[in-house]
Amino acid sequence: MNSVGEGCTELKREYDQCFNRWFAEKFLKGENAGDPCVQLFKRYQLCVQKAIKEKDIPIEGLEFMGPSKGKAENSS
Amino acid sequence: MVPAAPRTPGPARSRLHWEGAGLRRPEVRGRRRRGRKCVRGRSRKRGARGRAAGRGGPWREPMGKHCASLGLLRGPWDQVFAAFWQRYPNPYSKHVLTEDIVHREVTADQKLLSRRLLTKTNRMPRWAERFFPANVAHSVYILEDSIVDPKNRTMTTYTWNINHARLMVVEERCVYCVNPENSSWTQVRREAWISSSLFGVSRAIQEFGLARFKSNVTKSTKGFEYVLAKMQGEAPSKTLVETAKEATEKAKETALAATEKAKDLASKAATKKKQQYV
Repeated sequence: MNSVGEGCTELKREYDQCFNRWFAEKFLKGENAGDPCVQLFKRYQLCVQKAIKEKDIPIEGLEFMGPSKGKAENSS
Repeated sequence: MVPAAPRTPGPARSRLHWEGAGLRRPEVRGRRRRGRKCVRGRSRKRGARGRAAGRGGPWREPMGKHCASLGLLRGPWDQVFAAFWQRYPNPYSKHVLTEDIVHREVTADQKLLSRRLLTKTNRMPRWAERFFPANVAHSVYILEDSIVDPKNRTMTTYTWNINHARLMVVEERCVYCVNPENSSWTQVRREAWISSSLFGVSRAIQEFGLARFKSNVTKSTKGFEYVLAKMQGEAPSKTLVETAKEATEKAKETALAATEKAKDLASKAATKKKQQYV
């Protein structure tokens, strides 16, 4: 699946592959010996967060598991 | 014509299936027994107001629509949770343009918190385009927060749109857990709130929003089932290959044995013939 940042799709693909494996084979089985995808995630985040800023996508300051009221009112 | 016998829900059906409340097939359910309950906020004012107050702000009117449904995915919890991260793209997700993880962490109590950003097309009905010409071109940004709890085998998601919010806000909360009746299935309790704060057209917008939400639920479920079936198909196919290999080996052995036996028979026959001639 494509990333919102055109240049991030390949980095995302690499990270997703690593994550999906870790999620199914380690995390869900209760094995918690560190996350092997940290570096891939960092690289991918550098790219995607930049794209989000450039596109003015209002994701900042939104409460986890619920929209932040002020932002919801301001965005259109 | 003989009326069709009522189909009973049960493991006899081989395909993954999304079902409504009461774990019945949607087509079996009569119009009166609708699995998805959708009510206008006015009739549930207290509940809606309580909820809005609980969230600490008057940003949303205590109006709108509330929907709830119980669905069933024919796959064990761990497979469903894994499929959740691999559901895009699928043949039913053409309206999903991009997908990104923008936050992810594992908490001290071993829960996975994630925030996914999705971009979707913003198809509006013609009558609405007249009111919101500026909104037409812009796609919808959607955030999907989730908590995966492997210890309790639950996953909770919270999804809402972060732009076009003045026009309409669709919030959806899903709780996935092991089906108490069949531990190899996963059930999904889905709740949605659709609201529009626009004076005058809010009701029409909500109707449209509800219709689109429903069609998107169907799409998302079909997509989920597609990904799940693909994942489930992968495991048995390996076994099938192995079985086929074994079968080939066995067949070879049998063939070899048969050849030997044939040779043996032939030689015996030849000896017999020889004996006859003697």
